[in-house]
Amino acid sequence: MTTLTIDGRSVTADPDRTILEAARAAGMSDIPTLCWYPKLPIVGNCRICLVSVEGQPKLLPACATKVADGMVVNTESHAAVENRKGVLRLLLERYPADHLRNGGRVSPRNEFEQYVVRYGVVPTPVAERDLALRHGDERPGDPMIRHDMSTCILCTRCVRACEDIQVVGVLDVGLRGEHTEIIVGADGDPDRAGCTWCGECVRVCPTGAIFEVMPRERFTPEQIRHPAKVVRSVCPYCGVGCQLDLHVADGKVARVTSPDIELNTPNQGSTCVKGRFGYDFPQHRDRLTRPLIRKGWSKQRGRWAWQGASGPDRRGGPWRTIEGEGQTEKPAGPPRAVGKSVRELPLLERLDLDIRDRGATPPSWYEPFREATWDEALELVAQELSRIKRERSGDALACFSSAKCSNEENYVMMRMFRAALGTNNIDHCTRLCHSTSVAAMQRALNTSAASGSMREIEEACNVIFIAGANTTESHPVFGAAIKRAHERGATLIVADPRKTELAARADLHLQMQPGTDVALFNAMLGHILARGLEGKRFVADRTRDFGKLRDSVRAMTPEVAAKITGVPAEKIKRAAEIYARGPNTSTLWAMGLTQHANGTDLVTALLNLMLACGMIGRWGAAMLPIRGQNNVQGASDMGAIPFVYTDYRTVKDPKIRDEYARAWGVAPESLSLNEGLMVTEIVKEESGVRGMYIMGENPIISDPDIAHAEHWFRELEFLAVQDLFLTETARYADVVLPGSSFAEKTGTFVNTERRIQLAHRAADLPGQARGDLEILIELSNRLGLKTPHRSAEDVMREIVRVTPSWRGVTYERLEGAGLQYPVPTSDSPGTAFLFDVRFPTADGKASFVPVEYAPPVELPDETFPFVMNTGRQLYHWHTGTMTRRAAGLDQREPTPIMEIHPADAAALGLGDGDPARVTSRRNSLTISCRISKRVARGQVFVPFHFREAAANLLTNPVLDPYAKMAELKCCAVRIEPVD
Amino acid sequence: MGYPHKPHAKETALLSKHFGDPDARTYKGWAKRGGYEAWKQAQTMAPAAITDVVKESGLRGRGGAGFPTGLKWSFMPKEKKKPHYLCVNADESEPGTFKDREIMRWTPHALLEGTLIAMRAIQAEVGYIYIRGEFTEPYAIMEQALAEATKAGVLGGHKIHLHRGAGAYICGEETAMMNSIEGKRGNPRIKPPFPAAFGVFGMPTTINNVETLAAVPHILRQGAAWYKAMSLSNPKSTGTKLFSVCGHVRLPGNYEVTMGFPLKDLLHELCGGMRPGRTLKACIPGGSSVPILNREESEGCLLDYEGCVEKGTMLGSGGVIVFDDSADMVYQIMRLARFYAHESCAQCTQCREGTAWTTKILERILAGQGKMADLDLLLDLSDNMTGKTICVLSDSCAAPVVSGIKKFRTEFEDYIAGRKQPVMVA
Repeated sequence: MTTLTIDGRSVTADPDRTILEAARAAGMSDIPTLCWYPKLPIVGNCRICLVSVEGQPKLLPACATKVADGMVVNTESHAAVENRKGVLRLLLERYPADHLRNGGRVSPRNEFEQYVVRYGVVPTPVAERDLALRHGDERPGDPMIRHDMSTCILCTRCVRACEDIQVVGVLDVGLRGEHTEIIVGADGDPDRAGCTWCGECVRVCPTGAIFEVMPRERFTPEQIRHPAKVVRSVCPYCGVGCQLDLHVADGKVARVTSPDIELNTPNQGSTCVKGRFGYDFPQHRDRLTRPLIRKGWSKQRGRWAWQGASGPDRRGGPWRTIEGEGQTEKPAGPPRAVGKSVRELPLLERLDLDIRDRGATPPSWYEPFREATWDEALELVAQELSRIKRERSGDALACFSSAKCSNEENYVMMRMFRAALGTNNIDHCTRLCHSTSVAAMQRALNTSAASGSMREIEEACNVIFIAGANTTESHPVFGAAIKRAHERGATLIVADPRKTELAARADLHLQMQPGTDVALFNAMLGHILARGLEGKRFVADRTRDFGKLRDSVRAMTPEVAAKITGVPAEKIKRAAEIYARGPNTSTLWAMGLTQHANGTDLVTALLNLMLACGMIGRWGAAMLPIRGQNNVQGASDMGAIPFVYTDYRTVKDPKIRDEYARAWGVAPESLSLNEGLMVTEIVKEESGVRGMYIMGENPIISDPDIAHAEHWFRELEFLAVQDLFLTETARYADVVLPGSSFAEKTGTFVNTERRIQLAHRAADLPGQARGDLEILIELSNRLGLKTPHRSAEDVMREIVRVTPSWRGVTYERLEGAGLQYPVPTSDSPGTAFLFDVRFPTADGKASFVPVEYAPPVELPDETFPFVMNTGRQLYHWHTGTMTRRAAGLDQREPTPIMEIHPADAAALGLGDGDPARVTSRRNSLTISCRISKRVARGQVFVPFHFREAAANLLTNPVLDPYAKMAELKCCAVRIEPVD
Repeated sequence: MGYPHKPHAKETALLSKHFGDPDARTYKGWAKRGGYEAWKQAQTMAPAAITDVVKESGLRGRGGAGFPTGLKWSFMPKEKKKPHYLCVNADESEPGTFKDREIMRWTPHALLEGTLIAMRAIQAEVGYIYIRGEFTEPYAIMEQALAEATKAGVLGGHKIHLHRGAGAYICGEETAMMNSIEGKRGNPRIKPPFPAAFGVFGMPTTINNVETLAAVPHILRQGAAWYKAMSLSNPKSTGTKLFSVCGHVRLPGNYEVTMGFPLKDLLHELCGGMRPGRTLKACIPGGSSVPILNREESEGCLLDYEGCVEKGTMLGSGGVIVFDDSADMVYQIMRLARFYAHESCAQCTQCREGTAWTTKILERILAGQGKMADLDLLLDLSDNMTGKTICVLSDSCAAPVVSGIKKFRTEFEDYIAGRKQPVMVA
């Protein structure tokens, strides 16, 4: 430690700290800074933080000068203060500052103006200046970020944030001298420069020269500057679990910022475009504000009865089915509007204004419904669920809980279905997400979550191996961390059939044929064993069945695998050697691996590779299945899956059953000992399910082979849907209950690294909409299950009682960065990484499960020569329910597109934007083409967010034998131009 | 040699001995003139021994700052853990300076030889010669010389790259040059870390000026004592120095004299004095970045590091800019300020805004729209711009303004008071 004197006070600091850091750490935070920003590279160019140091002839920058023993610093010396005034005066000379001339009445609008006021610098009136106001990139047209470069002070924080935090590098400093300005790309086009609209530049800008448009369009400057409150919440999108600060005005979310970088939050202050700009969907005009009951239900003699049509028309409506929508003509996506005035925009955008709102609910969809009171709606739901249970059995009922809802809501939901309705038919979208990972991890390690943390990728990992994950689009904030790690020097290997952003920057891109991962991983493992590069100690001490594994991979040489996967044998060998040598290799995967009919095998092959090299259980060697939704981990932890209660405790064990029965105050026999049905099993004629309750899911877009699913849902006896909007699924419901969005609830969410985080209620509920938890509690009570909980915190108190690994969790402890479970005791700090000593198996060892390569179920042939892949886009989210109602996001990607390789497109006579018909063995749809080299030849990529071209019309419903995952990532299709 | 003029008896032609002789450009011609002998000698010496000789000779950096060369080399890590680099600063862009250009034009092998010796002294395997972008002819000559030297096998495992600048004055600042070599925007870096610890590509690096390195072979061949003895005034300034004289003298050009030579003699004897009927008014002795001297100061100034400091200016790069009594000092100072405003990399607030504002005020004064308060504003601005920024470009802009107002205040006042016809400033 170093001891120095700052303003007469003795301060100790680490020798590699700067004067600024030492002063701030000692609580002396008065040194002004403009170009300095936490975590950004220090450039020391604004020169406002200069301080006097005894013995130094010149003033020194506090932000860039390291402390030294015996240093005597004076931060308020005459020279230092005069310099600050000088800097501010110079900056003001080109800044529109007439409003700051009004003496005592000044109200500083931003960080920079606060300093101006603090140091009492009076700007020259604009009319009397020698220098013109600064200017720069101020193009119109973007719905999210705009520039007013007259207020730019060239601190270059935005440039460094773009380059060093997001690793995108869209912004730069252009020209020199007085002409210097912040430029966007080389030609002013952010899209061509690769902008992802993350808004990191907006976050760091100290003057508002780069600003968000949307708040200014909806709220007054006063409301934006002084929000009624700022509330900490968790982003409603992917599994990274970014913490957000919601600024509230008028009971609505006016703006989103991210908490200070210093807090140890998963996002460290960043967000992606969805988190920062995708917050306006709760305010969309489509929002349901009153419960809806399908016309035809009426109450007679105290009971609800169906009086409407019967047969196939029972659930009809004045809408096209998803299958029908798939056949409609599609406009090509509009060209980017950025940088163009409205007059310059193509006709499409000017005339067809609706193009930005295609995902919204058409007015006719409300026609089959009437508005109802909560009492009516809940009474009807309770009556019908009870009736079906009574007349058939509890197992004729099923529920889809939600990975977008909080732990408390998922817990109360599964408690209601298990205790009040006596069935384990409860599942949620994890089935179509990481169910195969869970199956594989359970089999090998008896665990269901990531072993490590996202932070270790950046801090301690040498080799990052990513399989089937388009992280920069699907988990952009984590994607940026991976890019930072790569910049720092970690080796990046990406196995992906598509040339995603990470694949393009990777040291090695293993571009294999879809679904051939087992061959690839087995060949890598075989090569590692042949070279003797495996983790011998680890294998001997901590695993079993290694012998079986060794035999199973022997035949899969890199040369054989090269023929199957299309990846050259040399590349496979190099990847294997890099992976095995580590020394710390982290293994990441996502939907590219899991969404296959042999997904469990695919993940198992990867786990075998990981275990054989001993790449788990150390800081830096993490096993990270990247979770897709903000609470898919939590919903599973809470037992919203058919086989387990909370904490993955089996429903089959009577002892465990007794424990839960006691906690819930019901007779043990009322809880079923049979495992329930999974999502993909429920939506089948033979499932016997006749009544359903769906909370915040939209299976009619997300299930495989939608045409069948849509038919199945229409045939139900009773369907209740609790959602924000009248979704494609909700339109078939008997009762629609208006629930709450993320901003309108308090609750906890678990991110991909097992971090339990607390979100607080920020906004008011619109109309009569109710909190999701409130609805479930009332419904539970109406179903006769005593549910006395009054708040989410009440529910959490019950959860921790029945969940051993959460026992130390309280709301109080979750404030701030949250806790990574296991948190077994009230003084446990949480667990950043697992398995450093043993695995949670009976003997503490991990098992190898040999798997053999099997080709995908559907291979391309003469009739269906292309392989179709599905997935997410950066600007959209799942079935589009939220993002297509977020103005900024929807404008970025308003229409469905199919990515196709230029050579294939040329061979088919398709140009960019041309409509094409895509046909699989199940169905067909039309969609417009986007020519892109991101896909390999012979493959196409269709995002699944759009109801008018729902990719899942085409996907293959064949299921993984263990996890019942459908083959969403690989089906054979035919492509024809449409005239 | 006063190329392109006849040699003058008072010159000491060491570096400029072969200026004007095309045969010296070739490898063969250079070898005939004793070329690469020093390099052969250096290869038999330990790196530290070479550094010691240079240290002993008293050679100081000829780029402007005058830092002792041997001392600079000795800052490089003794125990080599990372690659070391040598950067040769041939980005000669200082207004009024054109000595390095002539060295490269006429004696490219002298530079290569000095570069190789320095590389051995600092244990660098790779060297970059960063040549000003506008120097197309010197570049072509250097390229040819490097090819010949490579072919002749004198490089001995060392690698020398020629790197062309792209027209930015600031890239002559050593840390900006390193950024530029790395392919980045040529912004100066904050020091510390100093280049010897964290230089180009983050590796230990030494940066030397062309003239400095061209002197090194002579020192090695003829000994430190011989070099040290060349000093007319102050023993801290040794050897010879090339002065590029431009402006209102009869014979502008490069002149090589021993350190401590009187400026008066340089102007009035070697350069043939003022143009007919004109008298000396002012002189900038060390390139545009140093304070201006008036006539009395100029005529009493001895040309070495200490002599210039004594008169309130600096030896700088040795670019002597001469003004006779016809010169309009306000206009000249505005031209200098405008140059710095144009060349500011715009990182630091004081430099970016200060150089531009200074220029605008000077332009306004010239246009007859000045106020008396403007002079105080200029001095205040200059104070703000001095000693506050990452590099010294901003200081360089302030220096002529401050010394100009101090020494030629009446000329400013004439414009402000309307006693002088306004000048249209384009």
